[in-house]
Amino acid sequence: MTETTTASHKYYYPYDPSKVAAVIFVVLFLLASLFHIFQVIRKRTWYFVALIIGALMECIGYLARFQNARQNPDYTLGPFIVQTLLILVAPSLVAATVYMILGRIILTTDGERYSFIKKRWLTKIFVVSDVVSFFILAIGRFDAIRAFTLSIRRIWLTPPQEARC
Amino acid sequence: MANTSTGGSMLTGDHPKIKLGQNLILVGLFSQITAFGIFILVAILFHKRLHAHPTSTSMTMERLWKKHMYALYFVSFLILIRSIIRVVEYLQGTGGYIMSHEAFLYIFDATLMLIAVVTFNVVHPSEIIPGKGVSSNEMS
Repeated sequence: MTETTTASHKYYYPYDPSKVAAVIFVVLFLLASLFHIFQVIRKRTWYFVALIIGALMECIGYLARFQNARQNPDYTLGPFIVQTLLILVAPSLVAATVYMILGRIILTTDGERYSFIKKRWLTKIFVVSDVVSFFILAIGRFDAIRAFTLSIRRIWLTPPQEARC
Repeated sequence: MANTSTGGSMLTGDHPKIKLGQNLILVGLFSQITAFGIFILVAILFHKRLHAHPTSTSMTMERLWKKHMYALYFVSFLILIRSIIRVVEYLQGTGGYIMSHEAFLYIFDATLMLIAVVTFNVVHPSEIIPGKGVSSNEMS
């Protein structure tokens, strides 16, 4: 029985995930998110919602990671999926916000003619490509996780041969 | 003995299904890096042109729009580094150095992303872009 537990432990994390580091970033991202929410409400810059969601995704991602760290070595799949997925795709939202801001700076300075790509297209092209890569990453992750789950199940269902050797 | 060898190959990610997922992730990451590279070029080009031929509006807010452009470059740079490290991580595969060491996640993803988010707390675009219901003469 201990063999299967150690085997599954190896497949989740090739090290002992740090609880402390996870908690630190949960708190920091939470604080940053709250500060952003406060700023959005005060300045009424609603286009910043994407960034807030991204920051919250990071926060929740590290929270899930903290969960997994506490479970060491009997990790469960739920938190593992949450943390891999959220931490991987949250930066896409930050990137989308960056694209959006440039578009608005161009607009505010009346500098549309200096933009290599027309403003109308600018935000759309980049945000679309960002959303696309977001989904590709998510699908890729789901697929890898599904295959990972299948391989884990195979190992759990296979009776340990080591005892016989 | 046969079982351990199957388990070993899955650990290194040779299993075809894991490969597909990881390839998709690589495609996603590469497309993100490419889009970002192009974006930075567009931004720099815009910056140079607007600087060389200012519009009347841009002249009234010169230090402001430039400050925000630099904030954008900085954040873009952070995201770019993070994406590159991620790409290398996935290229190295499951047994690779980056994936096997937790420090990389915390230094090159968590910390960089946190700095990116906080940068916008400090250099808030509302300075240069009015929010809804805020008239332009209320801008600093």
